[in-house]
Amino acid sequence: MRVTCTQENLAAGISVVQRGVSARTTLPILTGILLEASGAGLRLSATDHEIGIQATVPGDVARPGAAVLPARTFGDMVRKLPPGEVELEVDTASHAAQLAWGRSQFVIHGYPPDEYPLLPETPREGTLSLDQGLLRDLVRRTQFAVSHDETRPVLTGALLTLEGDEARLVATDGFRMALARTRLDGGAGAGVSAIIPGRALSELGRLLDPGAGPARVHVGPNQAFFELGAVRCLTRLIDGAFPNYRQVIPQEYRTQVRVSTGAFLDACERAALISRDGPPVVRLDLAPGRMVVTSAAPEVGKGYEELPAEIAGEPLEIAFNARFLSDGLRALEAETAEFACTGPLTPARIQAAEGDGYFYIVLPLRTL
Amino acid sequence: MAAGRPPVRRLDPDTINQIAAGEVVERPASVVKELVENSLDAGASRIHVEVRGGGIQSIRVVDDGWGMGPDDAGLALERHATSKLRSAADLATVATLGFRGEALPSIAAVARLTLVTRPPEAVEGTEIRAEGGRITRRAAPSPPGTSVTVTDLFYNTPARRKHLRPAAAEAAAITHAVTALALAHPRVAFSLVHDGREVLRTPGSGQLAATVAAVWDPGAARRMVPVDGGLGKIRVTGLVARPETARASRARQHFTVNARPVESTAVAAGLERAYRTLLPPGRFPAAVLHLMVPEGTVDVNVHPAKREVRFVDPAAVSRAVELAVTEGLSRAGAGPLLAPGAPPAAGSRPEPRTEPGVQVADAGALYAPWDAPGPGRDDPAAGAVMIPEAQRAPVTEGAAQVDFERLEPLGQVLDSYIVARGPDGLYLVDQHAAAERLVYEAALDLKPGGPVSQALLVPVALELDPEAFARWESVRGDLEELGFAFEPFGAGRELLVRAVPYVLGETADTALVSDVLDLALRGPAEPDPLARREEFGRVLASCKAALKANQALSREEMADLLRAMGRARQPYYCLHGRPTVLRLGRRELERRFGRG
Repeated sequence: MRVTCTQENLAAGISVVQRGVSARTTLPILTGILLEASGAGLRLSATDHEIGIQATVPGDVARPGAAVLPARTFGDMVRKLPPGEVELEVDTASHAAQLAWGRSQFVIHGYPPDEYPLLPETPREGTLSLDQGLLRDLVRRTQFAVSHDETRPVLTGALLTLEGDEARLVATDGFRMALARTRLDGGAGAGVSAIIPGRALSELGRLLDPGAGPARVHVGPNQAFFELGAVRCLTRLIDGAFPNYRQVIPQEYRTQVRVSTGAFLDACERAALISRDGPPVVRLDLAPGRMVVTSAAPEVGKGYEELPAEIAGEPLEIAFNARFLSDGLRALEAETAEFACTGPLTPARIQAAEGDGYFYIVLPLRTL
Repeated sequence: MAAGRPPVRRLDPDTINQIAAGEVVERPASVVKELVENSLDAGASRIHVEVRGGGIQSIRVVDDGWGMGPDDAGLALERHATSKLRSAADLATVATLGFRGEALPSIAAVARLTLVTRPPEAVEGTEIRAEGGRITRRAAPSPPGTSVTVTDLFYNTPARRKHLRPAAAEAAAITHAVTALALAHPRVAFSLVHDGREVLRTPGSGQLAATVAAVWDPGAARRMVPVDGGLGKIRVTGLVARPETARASRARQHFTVNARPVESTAVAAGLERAYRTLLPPGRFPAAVLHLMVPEGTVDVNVHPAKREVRFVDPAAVSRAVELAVTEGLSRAGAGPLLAPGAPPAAGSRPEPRTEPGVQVADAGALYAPWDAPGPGRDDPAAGAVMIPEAQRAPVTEGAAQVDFERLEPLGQVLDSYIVARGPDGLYLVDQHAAAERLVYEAALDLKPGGPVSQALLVPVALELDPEAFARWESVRGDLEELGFAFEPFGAGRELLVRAVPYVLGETADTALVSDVLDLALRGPAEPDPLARREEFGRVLASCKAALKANQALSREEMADLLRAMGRARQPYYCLHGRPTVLRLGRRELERRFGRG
């Protein structure tokens, strides 16, 4: 294999795929990056069996071929090279890669490329196209609600549904739930529904580029594929049934509040600050014409804030995990939030006052 | 019936004595105990016990006490002759160990007994021999004090002799009895020789730790912490074991009440309660507890062997023991440390805390009087063995508190232990053990305004079996106080769990919730609501902490855990009495790198 490309392109490609390299693995070859030179340029791949990331770097391929090079050494080395042309030549027998520029060269020992796991190609059928910016919004507004509790795997991912002309992403950790949706242009594959691992979502969130063209998405029975121009991300899907969230969302609420999203968010963040070492409890006292937000930590201090708000329905005192509230408010994209709640055992809802299809459900705390 | 009804006869004195002896003299160990108690009552400062053949062949007890003149000595072998009690009224205030006047005549009734005695001021001693009801007395040379020799125990009561256990078992019982007496009287130097071999020797220095070191092993004293406390007029002193050194039996629990070795369920219950969250079931701490209670609040005349005492207010005694031991344990602070670190620099000692039950005392001053002989502060051998470190942590230095606020996590090993840098060395924290302790405390120490319960988005449906369902109804209130919220569901034994204790935190899931309830509803029915709550808290903690086992933690999570430990009441032990934190101090590091 012999290929020439620019240091800048190569370094950028490595940075993209390096996040797919397994951090902890017993298989040495998975600490490497797969390089494949072909007519399309130089393709870099990394996988940890859970997710895979690929990036194609423009280059002049003199001799096609493949190599696996240790990600850290190779990546750090390329980043340290001077800008300009770099020639990469791999000896098929010894798997040693020679990195040459100007009158200098380095040799890096690699692994046999045929031992590297194969990343399946994106099927041509059943792909739909979605604006990268919209997809990124879906991810950003739900990903934080994904559970980190490995004992309940289905909740460690978000449910992606593509139905009719709507794409929807739902995440919950059992205490709160975020649901974001967006319109699909063109026909979607009917009734696609899959649980995307939280880790893949966070990588996707980083890789999606609103300025670039549309993403091509394919959800298969075991894997999901996201083609983002020169970058491709694939992930295994989480097996199992996602909780039926529709039936736990109340249709009616006893108390409704319209309040500035930013003011409410700031108040919640201040409440969390005072209880840095303890449970972040924020208490809401809702009465007609009055919204009082209080917090207290015995060893640290306490806070009292009155926020201008419109309150409808019955007066209510209720407590929440301040972090949970902040997460939901941060995901809103509206100046005015509508906050609705009923009591200590009933889900509360946060959404934009002028609904954009996004909503966030959060369960209250009971306090002593 | 040829024989007919036998006539009623008055028993002869020998038979009466043999029957009475049965109550006092059950086995060789009881002979030893009676004789040693006489020596103690005679003000002895040294008591030497020598036995042969498990005490069946011979028992000899020699003391340096007051001794007796010829007339007293003769009287001593008559039943209910005693110098210690004049009337029944004195019984209520009896302060001597023996008082029934039964011991010597009872022993003389079932064995051959020789007593040689001389008061220090007398020129000549007296020898009394008793055998088969015949008592002879003659003048004889004797060192000051009294020596009693008992041979051929039960020679005239073959049935009883037949029931004796093998000599080795009887010898063990004697050792136990002498150990109990020695621990009760640290000022008296005891020695015990069995078949020519010295089994036990205490220094009689008045220091309990030295006595403990002598009767058990030199390390035993260092594995214990001092107790000095009480309640009202009940004073409790002594030594109790650090939780991680608990044993599988109560064999090393010795209690005295007003200097009398006793068995007391009230004392044992108080001790057990003090360790309740520190030990798993079936583990018992070694303990030597001396109770001083006002005369008149304890009845010692319950049993001829005088082991069991009866308190007027057993609950107060239990509570006094619990308080004193709890305080002793929390004062001892940083339990088991890997090795003694250099004492913290003057300015680095943590500020004394004000929370109840937690006091930071100057460790050196606190423990100095308890120092056992042997390896100590300046002995490089102290802490030489890494495992089991707890047994090696010298009381003098191991007792320093850990300043968790100042620990900086460096990383994690084996996904199980946090490695942290502290001002005085390297620290290792068992994340699972620590989490368990923290969850437990959080579950029970609810603060006003603090969160109790987190509602669930999707209620957990549980179907209970009939037994668990019956139990659930009786403990529902306790579980709801802990933070569960239930809703009966359907007509059968189904429940919807709508909310879970906040301490289950952001990881509550169906399996965890049903695990907790399953365990909580399956344990033994505890009638005391407080104990029941603690039991539920324990279940909650072990289920929740299980999630922390073998889990990679971020640097931030580690820092959080360490900070939380700094706020815990008892951060040093998990609920099973295992240590949560170990320290590798400067001295240990230097020693291991050959710089010591």
